[in-house]
Amino acid sequence: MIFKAELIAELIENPDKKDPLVVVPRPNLTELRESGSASVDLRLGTWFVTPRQARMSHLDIIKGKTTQDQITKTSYVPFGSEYYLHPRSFVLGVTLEWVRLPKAFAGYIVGKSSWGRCGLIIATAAGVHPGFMGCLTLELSNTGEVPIPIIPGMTICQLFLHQVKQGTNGVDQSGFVGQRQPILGKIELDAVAQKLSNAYKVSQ
Amino acid sequence: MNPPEYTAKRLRAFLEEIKRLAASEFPYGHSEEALQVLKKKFKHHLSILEDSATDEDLIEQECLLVNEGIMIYQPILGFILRSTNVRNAFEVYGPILRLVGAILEPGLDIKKIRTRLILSSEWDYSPYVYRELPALPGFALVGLPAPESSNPLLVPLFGHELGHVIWERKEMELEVRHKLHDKIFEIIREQWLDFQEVFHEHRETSPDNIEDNSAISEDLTLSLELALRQAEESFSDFVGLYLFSNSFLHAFAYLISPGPPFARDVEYPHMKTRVKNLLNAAANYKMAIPFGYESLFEESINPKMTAADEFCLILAELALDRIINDLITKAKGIIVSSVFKKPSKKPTKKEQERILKMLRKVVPATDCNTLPDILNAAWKAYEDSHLWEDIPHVMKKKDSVLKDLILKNIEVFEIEQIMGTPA
Repeated sequence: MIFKAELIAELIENPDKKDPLVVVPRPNLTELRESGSASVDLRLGTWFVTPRQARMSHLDIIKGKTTQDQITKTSYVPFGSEYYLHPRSFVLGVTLEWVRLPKAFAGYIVGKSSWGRCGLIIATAAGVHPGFMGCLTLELSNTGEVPIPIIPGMTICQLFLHQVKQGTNGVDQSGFVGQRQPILGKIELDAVAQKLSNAYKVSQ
Repeated sequence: MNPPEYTAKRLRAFLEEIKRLAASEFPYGHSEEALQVLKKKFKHHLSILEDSATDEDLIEQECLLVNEGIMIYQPILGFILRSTNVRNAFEVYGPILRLVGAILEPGLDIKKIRTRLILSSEWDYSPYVYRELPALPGFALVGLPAPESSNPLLVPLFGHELGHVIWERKEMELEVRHKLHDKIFEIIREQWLDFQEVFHEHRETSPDNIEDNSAISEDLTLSLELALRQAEESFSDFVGLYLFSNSFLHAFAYLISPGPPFARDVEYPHMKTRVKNLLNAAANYKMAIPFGYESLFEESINPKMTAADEFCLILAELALDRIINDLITKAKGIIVSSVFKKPSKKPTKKEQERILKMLRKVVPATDCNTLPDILNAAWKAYEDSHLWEDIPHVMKKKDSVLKDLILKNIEVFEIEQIMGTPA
């Protein structure tokens, strides 16, 4: 069941004391109630992360040998300034809002269609797990033909929420919790992938 | 060998550096503005040096001025460059600018404040403030130690640095110099024999009318200057304390306790005296003192000095002690009549507890009353060893989550200030 905006507004305004739904800075709850939508709009934050293309041969995050600072550049764009996203370029942004999902909720982030029609695609890994807390990293990509100025503070995406039917104990244990800046994340080979990778390796 | 040509070449290199820096990504306009002001000043010098009609004496004078300018402002260019580094906690800029504005230009909207603020980082142990620089009038330059410049728990230390700015802008030195001068002579009269023992040349002098004795005044110059510097440092401590209350005490201890491992800088009071003064001020301001606070600090060691200099230092400290309560009152008076003019804008324990409750849920608080409330709650959260015990994966990275959470809370506070102001 996807929550209607009216219900989201109600949950934000009168949160569960122990396990609240939080979106801060708070959206305009009157506008949210009257929107008739089934999501809450989120705004673009001030921090951006871009790959340092000239300093790496490839994005080597699987082996975990490189840190985010070595392969990316962090930028701060203050309110009132613009970030120009050029055609076929990619940047990690972050929501202005700090979001906290209760254990019984999950959500997903979807770009605003008005931006999508300009070529700005937002997020491919859009799931937000129960118990998540922090700012959401946004993967922004300009698939259009002309540069797009994006401005911190503008609405950029929407968060859909739904209830988790079973199991309300576990929470999001990922390393993405509690961040205010975009983060690259780690990609690790799990036991299966490691075993497959080593299957034909000649032992020394 | 042509010194004017060398100077002109160095000046061109300096201007070229300003041009390069101007291409940086500025987090706010004041750093960029400072570069433009410096560019204008030094371009003017260059035009004089390059003007073939300028006479030789003027050229020589210009060379000296340019050398002095480069010597003073080259480190400032580095400071401005570091103000653009993403290691800084840019989120605190707006709230600190509002504080500075409220103190120095009360009643003005943030857009109309003439004070220019540059927050940066220094490759120095302690936070640092540049005195008002002649070429950058109205600019306040404040920096935290580089490795700590993103640590919001140290924001209260800006309060001390703001104290220096207030000291300068409100021309407090004039008033305090006069008081200290009187106290120094008062003490000399009380300890006349001790004074004569150190300064033998005054053995035949009578303690009457010593204020009119220019030789004695000269001998006491060091005392007065040391007392003034220590008074300024103490006053700045009291400003930081009154503005940020308990969080200032915590940040102060975090950075300084147990004390410097080397001989003390005599422009500061003895460590134990400084802490005792802070705690007296806290009692005067009716603030709770963290348990065992005084024991966090060790006594500092005096540097090697001549007997005369040591006597002057002791005299300075005694004089300061006699006006310390005036400084405590003065610091409070300035903040009460500006930042805390509306009693509702004073930090309270209740508000601190409300914010702390939100931090415990790993969410920023909304509708916060003041920046100090946020920082007081932040320190309480940091000091709580049970914080987030029920969320082990968050507790595991407590320091980084708390840092981001507090900075986000400060940003939310600033956004609410902006939204509450008419467009």
